[in-house]
Amino acid sequence: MSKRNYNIFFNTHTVSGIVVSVALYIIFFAGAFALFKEEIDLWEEGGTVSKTEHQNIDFDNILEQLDRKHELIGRDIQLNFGAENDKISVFMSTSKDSLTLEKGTESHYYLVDIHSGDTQTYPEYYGLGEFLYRLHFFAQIPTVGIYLAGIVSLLFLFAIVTGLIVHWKKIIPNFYKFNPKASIKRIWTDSHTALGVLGVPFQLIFAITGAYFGLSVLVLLPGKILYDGDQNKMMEDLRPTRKSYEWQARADDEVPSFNYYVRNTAQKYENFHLTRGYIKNYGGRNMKIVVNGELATSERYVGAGSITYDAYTGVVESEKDPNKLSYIEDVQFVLGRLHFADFGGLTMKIIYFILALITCFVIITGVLIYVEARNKKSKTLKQRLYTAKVGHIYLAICLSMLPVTAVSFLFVKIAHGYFVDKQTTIYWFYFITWFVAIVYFRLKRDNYHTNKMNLLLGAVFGFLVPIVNGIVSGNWLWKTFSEEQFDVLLIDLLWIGIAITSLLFYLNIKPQIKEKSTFAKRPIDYKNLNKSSGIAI
Amino acid sequence: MPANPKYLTQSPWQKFAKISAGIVGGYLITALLHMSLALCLPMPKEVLITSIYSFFVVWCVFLILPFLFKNGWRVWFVYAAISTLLFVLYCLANQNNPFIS
Repeated sequence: MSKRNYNIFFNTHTVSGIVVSVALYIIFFAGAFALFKEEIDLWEEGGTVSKTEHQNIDFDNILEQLDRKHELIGRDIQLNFGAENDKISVFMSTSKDSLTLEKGTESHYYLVDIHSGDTQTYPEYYGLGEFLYRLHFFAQIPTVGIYLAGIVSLLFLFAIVTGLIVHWKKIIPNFYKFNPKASIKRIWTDSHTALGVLGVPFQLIFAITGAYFGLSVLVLLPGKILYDGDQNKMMEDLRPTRKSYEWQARADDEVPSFNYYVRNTAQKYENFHLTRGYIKNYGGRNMKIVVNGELATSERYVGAGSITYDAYTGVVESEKDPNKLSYIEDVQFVLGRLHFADFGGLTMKIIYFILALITCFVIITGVLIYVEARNKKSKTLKQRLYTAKVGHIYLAICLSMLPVTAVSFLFVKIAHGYFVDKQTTIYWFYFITWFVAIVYFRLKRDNYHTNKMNLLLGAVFGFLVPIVNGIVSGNWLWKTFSEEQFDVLLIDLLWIGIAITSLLFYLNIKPQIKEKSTFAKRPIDYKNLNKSSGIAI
Repeated sequence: MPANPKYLTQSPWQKFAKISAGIVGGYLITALLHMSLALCLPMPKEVLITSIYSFFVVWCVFLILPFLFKNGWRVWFVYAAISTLLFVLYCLANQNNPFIS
């Protein structure tokens, strides 16, 4: 590669990396926890779960209760069975039947208890798991959040490819050259390269799938043009289970049992677990029932299946055998599987979790290289101040996420049951705590301090997580272990693991390391800054 | 390290040209390429759905390429030429559109 090209690639890697760094760090950090979204919500709820197989849920009872409240005739209903947490989510569209009662004209989304049929609205159900999951694609920013996350993913892909081009030849030598006693910039550079390259396959998966989830509209647009603007037809072809049917008229007979079709589907294949159900045109002459499921991932990596029934006649209209592959549907299924790590059980999720945190480390070291490399004599004081400021702000935002997340776990546990609108409560708590932490560390202007404090606070709050869980909910480690409530146990153990790691890092980072920074050799004298240069900071 | 500025583009207009060519021109080329492939190759639906993986990879390549050029407006010219070619191909292939039938 010519010198010019090398320098150009290098610069594109630096600029794209710096531009997305903070956003990407937030995505990976929140995303790492989002892997355990359902476990976190269970942990927060604090009760015990009955671990009912989805096929044994009494759906007819639930639907009957919903019908009394909301008049289901003419609606399309989607039921997500989710994890084994005694809650299913139900989305009902507005009724297509013009004869519907007043209450049929509103759409609803509920979380329904599978035993009692009690409903919770979304803000009532909202938990920290959901919050972190949504934070990982910036859903808290209205409308544009998800697109922003998509653009960040695309730039991440750009940074990965240019980074690979730049570092390709140095991968192996750098790996052996790693020397923690070298200057701090060398440490950052070598670990950035070594860990960055080791994590590349994992990061590529996320850059590509993440870009698709965020910017799918840009991928579907050419498809829509090919279909001459007929999006419904395109969706029917690409996602057959989402097909919707014209409303004809009400049926004369009683509405058929959804339970029957659910059980029928579950028994059809071995090791088949139901994930989702659709009822199209509830109570209509052409009412359809679609039941989706997956084979256990120990059986098959890709084993998505689905059967569509005509509800009144019981005729199977279409069937997707989970033991056979259908390219069009399964290729989309794999994309989700790769992103959400819902295969290979807990082991896979923990591997993903660790790799996500390693990616966070690579992002941070990237920022630190940028900051260290630009504190040079050849730069003006104004330029040096600018990069130092970028470093302070970036590190304040990123590193404080650890203690803020930990303390939010404590908060939701202690505050559980006190607030009706949990969504607003969590928003306020998380964002205000985070903001205060950012302002404090920004004004401290000491990256060493920011790092140490956040590791220490993260460790302290992390150790408190299982203790507070024990005191508030009585779910002590040994109790959840003996009662086999492994989801709850997992979150406690996860935090103990994070706390121990943070503490080890905290104890091993010694003040001497500061002397290896370029800021020790060429310090910025903030106190006399205004006098000497007249630059405001 | 950092990159030696003597090799880098200094003019903001040149930077703008390269970045915009990558984003807009790159997207056009990627979209037209995928559309043409879906129309020309056998198994059109399968080809179309594969774009959920390949789309961003191809776009990313066209985002990087402009930076290798000295003149950003030249990139615009090249990208416009490729887009036109692909558009012609798309129009020809679209007369036999397997998606609408």
